[in-house]
Amino acid sequence: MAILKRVLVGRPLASVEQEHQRIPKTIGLAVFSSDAISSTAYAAEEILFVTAVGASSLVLGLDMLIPIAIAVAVLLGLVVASYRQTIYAYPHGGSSYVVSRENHGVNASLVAGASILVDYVLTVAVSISAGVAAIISIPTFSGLADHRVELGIALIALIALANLRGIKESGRIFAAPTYIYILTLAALLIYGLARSYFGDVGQVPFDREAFEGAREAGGTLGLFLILKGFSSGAVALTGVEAISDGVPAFRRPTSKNAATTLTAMGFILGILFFGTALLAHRLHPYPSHDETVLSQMGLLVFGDGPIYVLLQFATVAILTLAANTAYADFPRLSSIIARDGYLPRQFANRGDRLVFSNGILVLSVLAGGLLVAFGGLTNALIPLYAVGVFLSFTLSQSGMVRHHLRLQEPGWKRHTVISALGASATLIVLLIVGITKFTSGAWVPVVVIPIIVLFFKRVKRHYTKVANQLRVPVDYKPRKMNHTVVVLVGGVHRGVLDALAYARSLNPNHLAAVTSVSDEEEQERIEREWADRNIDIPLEIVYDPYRELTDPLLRYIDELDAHYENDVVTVVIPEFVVDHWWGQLLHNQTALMLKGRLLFRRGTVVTSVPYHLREEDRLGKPAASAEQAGTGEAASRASPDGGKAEPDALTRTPGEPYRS
Amino acid sequence: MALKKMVERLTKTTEELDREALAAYCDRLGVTPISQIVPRTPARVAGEIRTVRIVPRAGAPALEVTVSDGRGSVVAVFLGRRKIAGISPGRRVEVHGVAGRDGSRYLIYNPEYRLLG
Repeated sequence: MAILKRVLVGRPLASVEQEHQRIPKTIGLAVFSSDAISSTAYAAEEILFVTAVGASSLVLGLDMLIPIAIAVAVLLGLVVASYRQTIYAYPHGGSSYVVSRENHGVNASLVAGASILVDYVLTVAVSISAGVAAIISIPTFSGLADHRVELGIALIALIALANLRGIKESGRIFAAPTYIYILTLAALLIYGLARSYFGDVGQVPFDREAFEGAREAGGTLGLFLILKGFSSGAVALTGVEAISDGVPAFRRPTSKNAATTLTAMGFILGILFFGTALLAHRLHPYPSHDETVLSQMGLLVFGDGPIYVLLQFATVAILTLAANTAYADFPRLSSIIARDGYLPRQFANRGDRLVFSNGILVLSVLAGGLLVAFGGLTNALIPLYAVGVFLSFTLSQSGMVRHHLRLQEPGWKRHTVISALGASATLIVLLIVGITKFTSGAWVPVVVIPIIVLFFKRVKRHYTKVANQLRVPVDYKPRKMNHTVVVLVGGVHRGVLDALAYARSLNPNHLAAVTSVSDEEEQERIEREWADRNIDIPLEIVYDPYRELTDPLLRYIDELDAHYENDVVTVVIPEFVVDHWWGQLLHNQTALMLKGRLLFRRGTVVTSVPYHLREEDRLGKPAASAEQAGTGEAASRASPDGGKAEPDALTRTPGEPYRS
Repeated sequence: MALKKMVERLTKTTEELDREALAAYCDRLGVTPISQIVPRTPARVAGEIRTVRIVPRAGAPALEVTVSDGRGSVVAVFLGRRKIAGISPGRRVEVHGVAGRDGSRYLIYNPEYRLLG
């Protein structure tokens, strides 16, 4: 297991090896905008899935594409303008969680935190499923269409592994795929639009079979469907907040560079998205689960040559990077929330590769689960997506409004208006998304986010309770403990004698050995052995009619506890330690069970005194083994936990008389 | 109700059932229930031997026997003895003597005893 981990994850890294590298704008744009820009790969298609399918028709849907794209672009402009404020106000990273916590208070920040976490999970699921869709759109790989879930899981596993090894999110290698995607998509749009306007290229050949909608023409497109289509298009905005989260990663002046990058990203995203819509309007692609809209248009414009394949693979690459962004952000945010005490502490711990391993694993499992649950279809996941994003947008922007009103820095009036505009726009979108898509999936985050918030509060309450109980009053002095030590005795042998010596070294108030018998013969044997050895510790012989060991012993310890008014009872269990794991299987597990029962008993310490057996001796003469494992060693190795050693000394060993 | 009894029989732990059986047995003997022992007055009690405590050879010889009748327990201490044939865990005995308190438990020193079935 350890070797496997070493091979897959790599050697552990020391805390000092953590470094922070500042990145220039060009890299920053690629690193932080892959999430947002990658949504151009599926946003237009998702609009069509709503507006061109079912009650409506493809023609009507395509006609609505451009107005919807304009609305989304306007929304994008508002959000970008608003987020520029956040970047200047929170140069140390202004995630929605942080902004809400400082301006709205705890509850809002928890809602924001929960919705962003949900969102990151969805980012992974959606990006990966869209990436898989891009792969299977390539005619050569169309045979993989039936394995989209497996393919998606494999991609998630790959990203998770890469992140567990730890990759610098500021790594330059991430810049390449983003720029390649931007360039190839731009080439497709320019070349495609040019060819289309010069009448050089017709429309995408319509395949009735592959089209998910039933009708080619006719039908109506009501306001509800248009708004629903708009909500699908709004997913293009996911990831816009990434830059404001990552301000500290930019070169100085960090805020200015980050804001410039955000603006650049806004323009690129807006132009690419609008261009895609425009091209789709010209080329009439149709939404399908078998081939993406982008692939249909690429194939038509470029033919199935290398440029088309490059476009597809650039799409896969940027979508994978988008998923990777979530892998950088989810663990980081969960660690911040965990440090505030709202998530289990394990999320705040860096693993041995300096990454938040637990966050990475949880994210992978959740995203993988979503992928399986929704059959790896982007289209099915999209309705779940936008709710969390816009909820966190709204909280963050309205938080900024409060921020401006509170501080009243120079130009605060203008800033307040921008933030307020952003907040109201995102709130309206949130409502639109929530209402129009409620039945098709938006109910999931509506249910899940409050549950997560409740979970956060429960965790916090628990930690607060624990902290209160652990708090030490100034004059607190632990009182002297009344200590009783009980040594469990199976038979009189070397391991038990060592354990008794160890128990004596603890110098307790009361010391007793205890054994259980189920008939008179056994009792006489143990009594005789005790007397023969001249052991100067009283031996309690407990009647155990059902040979179950645990219950009579527990009852005995209870009585002992009541009688001596103990503060602490230490139960000493002598154990054999064998060299091989299969050797442990040969030994009885009863004492292990007893340990399990004692674990939950108040004021009880369980101590295992190991007795190391050597292989050759154990085979020949079990009782007289291992000269070098003396009393001192046994005692020094004893730990309150017992380690991995297998308890056996209490019970019969096969091929050995009961009291050896 | 017969049904209720049956359900009880099936749901009670073995320990509870054993304790009840022991209590019923002791009642039939017509002895004082251990839980009703009054300190410093003679009592005749009966029960099953739960534990036997053997003190080390170096100390003063004594045999401590915990007798339980399912409702309470009393410790019979046989001073000067290390072993008494028949006094072993699981045996039922009748014990007669004056009980004294020792913390939360009752002790009867050098009781008169009778081995039962």
